[in-house]
Amino acid sequence: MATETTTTRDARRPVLTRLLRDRRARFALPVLATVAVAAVASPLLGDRSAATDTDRLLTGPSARHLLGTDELGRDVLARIVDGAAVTLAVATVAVGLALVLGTLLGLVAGYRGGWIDALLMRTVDGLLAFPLLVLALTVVAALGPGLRNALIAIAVVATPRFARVVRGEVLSLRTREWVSAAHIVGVPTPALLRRHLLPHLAGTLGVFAALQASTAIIAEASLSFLGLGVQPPQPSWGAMVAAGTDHLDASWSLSVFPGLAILLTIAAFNLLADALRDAFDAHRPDLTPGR
Amino acid sequence: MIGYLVRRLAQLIPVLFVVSVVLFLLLRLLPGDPTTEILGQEASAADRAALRADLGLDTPLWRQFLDWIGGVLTGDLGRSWLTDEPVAGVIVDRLPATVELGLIALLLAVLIGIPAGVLAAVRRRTATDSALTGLGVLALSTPHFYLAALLILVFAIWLRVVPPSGYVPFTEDPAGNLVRMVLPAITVGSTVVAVVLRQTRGSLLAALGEDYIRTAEATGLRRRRIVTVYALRNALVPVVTVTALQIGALMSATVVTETIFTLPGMGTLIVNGIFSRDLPVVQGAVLVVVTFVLLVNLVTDLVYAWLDPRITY
Repeated sequence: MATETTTTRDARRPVLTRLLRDRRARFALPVLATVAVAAVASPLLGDRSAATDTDRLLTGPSARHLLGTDELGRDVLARIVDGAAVTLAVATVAVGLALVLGTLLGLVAGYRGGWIDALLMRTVDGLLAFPLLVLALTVVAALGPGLRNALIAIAVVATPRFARVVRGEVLSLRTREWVSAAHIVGVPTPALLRRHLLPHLAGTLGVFAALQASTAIIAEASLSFLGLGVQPPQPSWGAMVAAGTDHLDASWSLSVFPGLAILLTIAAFNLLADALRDAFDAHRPDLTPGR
Repeated sequence: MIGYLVRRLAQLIPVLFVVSVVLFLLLRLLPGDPTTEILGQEASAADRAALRADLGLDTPLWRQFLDWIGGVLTGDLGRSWLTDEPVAGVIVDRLPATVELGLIALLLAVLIGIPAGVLAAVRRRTATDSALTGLGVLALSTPHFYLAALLILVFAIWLRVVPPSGYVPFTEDPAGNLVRMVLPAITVGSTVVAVVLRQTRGSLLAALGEDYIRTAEATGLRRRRIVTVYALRNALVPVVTVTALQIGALMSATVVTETIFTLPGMGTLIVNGIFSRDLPVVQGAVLVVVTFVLLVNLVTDLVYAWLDPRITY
């Protein structure tokens, strides 16, 4: 009985308050904030990441270079800070693009139904049949390597995933009373979708976007690792790990630290997704029986 | 069941059609002249025109698509622009390494993931459970290429117990082959282990809450027997499905892993094909991979129906 009262009280708290009380979010949010600050602040540091210390090639961590130097004597820490911009771009631009496009397609397919739905969903099925990285590679093969094309490839890969999730939600929402009521009183379809369906998708989309951000960061890092994403000399964490694997016997730190940055960021997005799911679900106890 | 099988096979056709259209359009609409890729910058206009006609590039796009699909349906995936070898033959040469890597990874994932999941479920809310679940999150958050780099660093460079990369066919040197497959298989299997662990833990906990378990407990059966025989048997049905559905992710993992360990498989074939702009090879290899993934998903659904007698189609 005592737990029930706490749950009810807890459920009335705003999502943000509940999120901030979650241990997983308390780990994830500072990590992601650090990445964001690094990405925004790195241009202000000047070209520290490009400066070469030719007396110190492939050195380990030292007082002068906290995380060591790479094969050209560049400071690894400065390059990690610089590389955060790429990761941030993937999580915001590529995932944002896929979120907008996928939501639009999912809304239309789910609400309209009929041949539009059939056509869109068969296309989505076809795209989802590709293993994620294989589709991203195919898109990069067509467009050519580089950051911009890697972002497009990741958006192409993620869009059908958003469309599929949104369509599923819309199918269950469109039969609700308030949607039928809005339809009957003559609310135009675009307004109906925007005002009466979209707000109910916020929770699902938030959780899904966090999960997709983690997938997208792995995909971009993998493309850059393979040499098909960000091109040198621009630093990206995936490409830094790749450069490090060529010098593993000379310097252990060159691969380890950029990889650690990727790992922490991905773990943060995964944990944030879990925390968001719980924070939103408490609002909708009907969706999670037994919890 | 037969009716269901026919229906599912029929559903594959539109998906495969979309896949082939996407693949064809993506790789045919790219800018630049493929004859430059093959003949180089200095080739004469006449040579180029002859090659274009030879490759069928002078016909309308829809005609090129029909020619390609017609070839695919008869097992002809075209010829490599680079080496002029038949693409189908190249793929057949590359399959053994990828299939072996995938199978060992899957085996590792099941042999480690299921017992770990059972342990986590049985010791629920203990330090063991937290440690295993935490390791699972860690495995899911580690990119394959990073894990590969760490494994090479520790086992090939520091401890020197395995060679850092390379490949020998199993038929030539079974021991040498397996030694070189250990690190790649751990790399590819790492995420699958985590998924299997999570699913086993979750469905075993759900199964342990069922009425028939309480009945079994009431009859005085030993705890170990209840868990392994009564609960686990039912809990493993979704584990089989979830594991098989990892096949797509497994293929993504092999692309990166084969590259870092220089294994001659489908992944390196695709990546090298992209670098050398050898489009027929990329197209053929990706089509084979996607078809394979779709077929595995189909078989998974059928196995699921067979394992769980409550499901009727």
